[in-house]
Amino acid sequence: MGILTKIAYKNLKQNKRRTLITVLGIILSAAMLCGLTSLVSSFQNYFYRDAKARNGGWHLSYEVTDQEEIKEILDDPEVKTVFSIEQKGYAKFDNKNTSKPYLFVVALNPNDLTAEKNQEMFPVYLKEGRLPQNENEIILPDHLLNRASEVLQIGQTLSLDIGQRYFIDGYDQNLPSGRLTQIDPLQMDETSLIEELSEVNEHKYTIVGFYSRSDLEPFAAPGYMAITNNDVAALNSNTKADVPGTFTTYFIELNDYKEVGNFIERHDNPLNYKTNSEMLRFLGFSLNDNVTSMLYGLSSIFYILIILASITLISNAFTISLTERVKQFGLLSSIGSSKKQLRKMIYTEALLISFLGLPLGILGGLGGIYITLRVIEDLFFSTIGIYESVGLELYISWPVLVITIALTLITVLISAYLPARKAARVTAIEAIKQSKDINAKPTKVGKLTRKLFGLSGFLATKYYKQSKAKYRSTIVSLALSIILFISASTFTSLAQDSTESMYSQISADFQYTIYPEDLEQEIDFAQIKQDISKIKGVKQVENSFYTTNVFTYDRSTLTNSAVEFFTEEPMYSDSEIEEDVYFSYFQIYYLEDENFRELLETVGLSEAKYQELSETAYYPIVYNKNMYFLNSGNFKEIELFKNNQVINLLKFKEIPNYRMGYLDSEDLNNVKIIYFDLDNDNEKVLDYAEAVISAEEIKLEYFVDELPSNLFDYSFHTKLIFPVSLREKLSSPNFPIQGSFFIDTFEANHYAAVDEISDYNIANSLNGDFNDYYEMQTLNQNMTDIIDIFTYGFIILISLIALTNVLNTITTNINLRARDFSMLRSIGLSEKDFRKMTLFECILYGSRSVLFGLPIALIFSILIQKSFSNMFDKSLFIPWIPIIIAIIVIFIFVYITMLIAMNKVKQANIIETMKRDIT
Amino acid sequence: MPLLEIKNLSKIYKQGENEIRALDNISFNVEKGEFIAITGPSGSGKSTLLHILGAVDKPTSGDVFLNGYSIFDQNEEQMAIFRRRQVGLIYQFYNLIPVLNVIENIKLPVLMDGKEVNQAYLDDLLNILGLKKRVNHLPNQLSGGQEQRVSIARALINQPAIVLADEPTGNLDSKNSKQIIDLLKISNLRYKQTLIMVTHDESIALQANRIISFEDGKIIGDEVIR
Repeated sequence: MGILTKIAYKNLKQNKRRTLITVLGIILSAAMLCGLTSLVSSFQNYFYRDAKARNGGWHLSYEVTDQEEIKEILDDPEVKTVFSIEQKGYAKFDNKNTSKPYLFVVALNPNDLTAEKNQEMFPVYLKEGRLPQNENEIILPDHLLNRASEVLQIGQTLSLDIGQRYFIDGYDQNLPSGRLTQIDPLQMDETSLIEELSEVNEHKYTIVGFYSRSDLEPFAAPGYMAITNNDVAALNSNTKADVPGTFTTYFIELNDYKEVGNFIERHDNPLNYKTNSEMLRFLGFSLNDNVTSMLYGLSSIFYILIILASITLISNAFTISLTERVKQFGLLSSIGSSKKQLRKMIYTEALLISFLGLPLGILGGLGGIYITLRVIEDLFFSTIGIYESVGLELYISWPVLVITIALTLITVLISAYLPARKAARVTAIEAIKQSKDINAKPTKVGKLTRKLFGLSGFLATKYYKQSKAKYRSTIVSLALSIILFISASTFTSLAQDSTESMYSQISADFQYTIYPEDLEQEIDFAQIKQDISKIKGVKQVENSFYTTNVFTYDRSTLTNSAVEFFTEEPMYSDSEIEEDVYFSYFQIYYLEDENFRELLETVGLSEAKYQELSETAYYPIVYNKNMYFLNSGNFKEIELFKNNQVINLLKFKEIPNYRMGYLDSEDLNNVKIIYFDLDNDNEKVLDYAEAVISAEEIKLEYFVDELPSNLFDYSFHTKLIFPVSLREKLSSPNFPIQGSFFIDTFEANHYAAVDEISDYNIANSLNGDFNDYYEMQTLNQNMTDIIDIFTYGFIILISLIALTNVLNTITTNINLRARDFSMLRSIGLSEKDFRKMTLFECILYGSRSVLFGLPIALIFSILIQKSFSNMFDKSLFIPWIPIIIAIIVIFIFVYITMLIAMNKVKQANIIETMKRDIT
Repeated sequence: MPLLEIKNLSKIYKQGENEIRALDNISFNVEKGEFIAITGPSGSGKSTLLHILGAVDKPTSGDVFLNGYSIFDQNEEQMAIFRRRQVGLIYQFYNLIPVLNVIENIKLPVLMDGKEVNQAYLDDLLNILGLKKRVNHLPNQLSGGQEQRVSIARALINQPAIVLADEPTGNLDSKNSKQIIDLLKISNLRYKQTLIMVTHDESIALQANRIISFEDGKIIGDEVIR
């Protein structure tokens, strides 16, 4: 060990407090960098494993009809694993989902992979039963169970007429594979199907199991995926080569996922290929989507913040320890140490403490994230995870870890370099005299300062202006705390906004909506309400009705802003049926008396008064806000009607077994109404005059700004609210009315009640739909909790760095001036003046850091808001509350720190302090 | 009535089990206009006495009376005002405030009182101390002798009852030492300034008009030499 290394070592040992703070700084910054990287990589890894568990572990898939076509691809040495399924085709299958009328039968082709590998390549999660073992066995997805017209059971035999989907004549389109596949939804024109099955063969299958719906079945796919097995025997006797036109999908895993691009290029042929994009994305293969760009954008902002905070803290600690040792440097250089040697000594110190701090920091960061992941795992899975088996695990990405170590070391070296350069520049004599720090420029003290703070202010200003460098690091650290706090708060509020659902306005726990199957169906809503109210766990039931009606209105009833908007954006304008008269659909809600009474109160009407009004005309309570989404991605809110207007509710001629379809106003002189029959197969066209049998005048006089809590805004358009007693009078037989039950439940029995209502729905063969707001709110709450854990964890850690730094610099600064303070006291500076000086310096620190930190904080806040707006469209905002909190906390923190430091000085013996050598 | 009455003053430091008697029952009087040198070997208690007289340290027992009033019978605030108005301190290591220039350092005790400086007196002081051309310099731009002259000016600016000097030449060469002592003598003659100076230098002590010798916290000699 060279002598300088020895001195470096001894310096660290003797200056324990300073060394500790520096090491602490390194630990904190290494922990945070390492924590953040492993957090990102753990989540990335989770999403990767999740995608793999749902879609399979393949990289590429090819669809071919002829084995020869794929031969060249399969022979590529880059191919590691091949798994194939045969697409047998589609079979009509009766079920409730009208856009999904088929079973899509696929057969697993035999291969020599292990069962685990098969599962990995093509994940099938059995709910019941077993996998199919031959070509006569089949398994079905579980979401078919509730929708199938007949009860499905294991052991049951299905007879399927399997064929391929083609467009019917006259609708031919150029399809890449010549026929319709799972990614092509059911093809319809306005009224009827324009696709058909051909090449149909009958096949009998025995159901041997049910599996969880697979992500390999796209959401809008027209067929439920049923899986059978091509056993070896069947393959030999009746190979798919014998059935021309049958597609086989090859799922291919490569040796290295990074080769996917090259692989595709290498096999540049017209084959239909697909990449497993979701999985590959989380391997880092493609980054061109919003989620990942937000993830990376945000984490890089936080990286920058952490590195900035770390550099300030560590370099401060170095600067301080060097200032205190300037004399030592002078001494060393006076006995012949070169500048290079001095610098080397400082770097040695830096490396020594890095070796101490880095491993601790990395362990701390990994440990912290491990614990955090354990803590949030449950919350996380109740929020988004479906395949819990995948598990949220700490994933250490080694290259990332190496980069973290390098980043921390670079941070430490930069931190040491700045003060080392300064120290080496000080000449021996300057060092011994310690005169470099004071700026010789004359300084002026403002009149106001002198007047308000007298001598204390005068002294404080002098200190501040003449040794700015000493104050700078404190102010930078304080400013940094402001920046960090405001950035993190911005992040939190954005993240919470984005998880806040639009359902939050609804006060009910559960909504059960019944749609009539057809216009004929009579539903006894009062009876249903009674039945539901009796269910255990149900606290309260409110019943409201919802329908859509057709209205006409004059252009003069519209607000100016609406007229202006429709002129600018004609595509949003309602149909014009004669000069300046428009035709539009609006929603009508009917509320139960009690709920309607509450609503009347909000517009200042008594029940009696409303009764009186109703005798003369129809007075709805109007919700007049209309939301229009623009091409720019923004939306515009417009109030449609002026106050005190009259519009007309149209009633249409009833045609048995037909319902009102749409209005054709292309020719203003000949407006027509189109009716459809209940199967959408036939239409009837009536002239406007013939179809409209009456028009009721509706008076728009009472407006509300917000919908009652249990009415949900589905359409973002004008709504009219009436009491339920007017339902019969106003409703039109052409428009089905739906009833909604808003149900409050007791928390403990919520799910039991929901199950029972769902059973009730089936038992009474009602066409019901359920919205579990209680569950949505719980999930939202969990999501918010997760976000809170992360951001507050981050704020706490990084504030710790910044505030340690402030504590460090302020106490040092005061300690360095302890001699001056003692001298001032020895010549009679009073306690009061001393406190005043402290307060004044505190204001100096505080105001400078706010002045310097706030603008930068706002820039960061906007950057974060921008990176969020990749995902959510939001207008920019200024985070006032965090700003105010930050400012108050900064002043209080500085004042307390200074009081503590000053108190120490005050308690010290005046004489001893003055005699103390400053080294 | 004497200006200063020192009565049975003791200062005992505890160091573990041992007691160190820095001052052991000291009593003497100081008349206005006296220039007293306090001599003695290191650790004899002379600096301790000076600090107690300057009210920056407190005695273990005994009291000091200025014009008949006890110094230590005051609260912190009053003590601070006492130091500010009645005492001028000159240290071996000058103890100037590094961020203030010469004139600001000198005016400091007056400014602390929120008073205006007597400009004629200040000019006179600057002339005598040869600091006229240095008023805008910062302490680190001055030589040791100059710094000490600034601290003398600071001690005299309030025209205090007593000026206490702790080894004022201890850090200076002989030429500068002589100058400083001459200046102290001038202030004593010209402003009738009462001076108490601690020194271990025999030749410097001889410049005063009374020498009090200390050993082991006790007075072993007290003679008026002129």
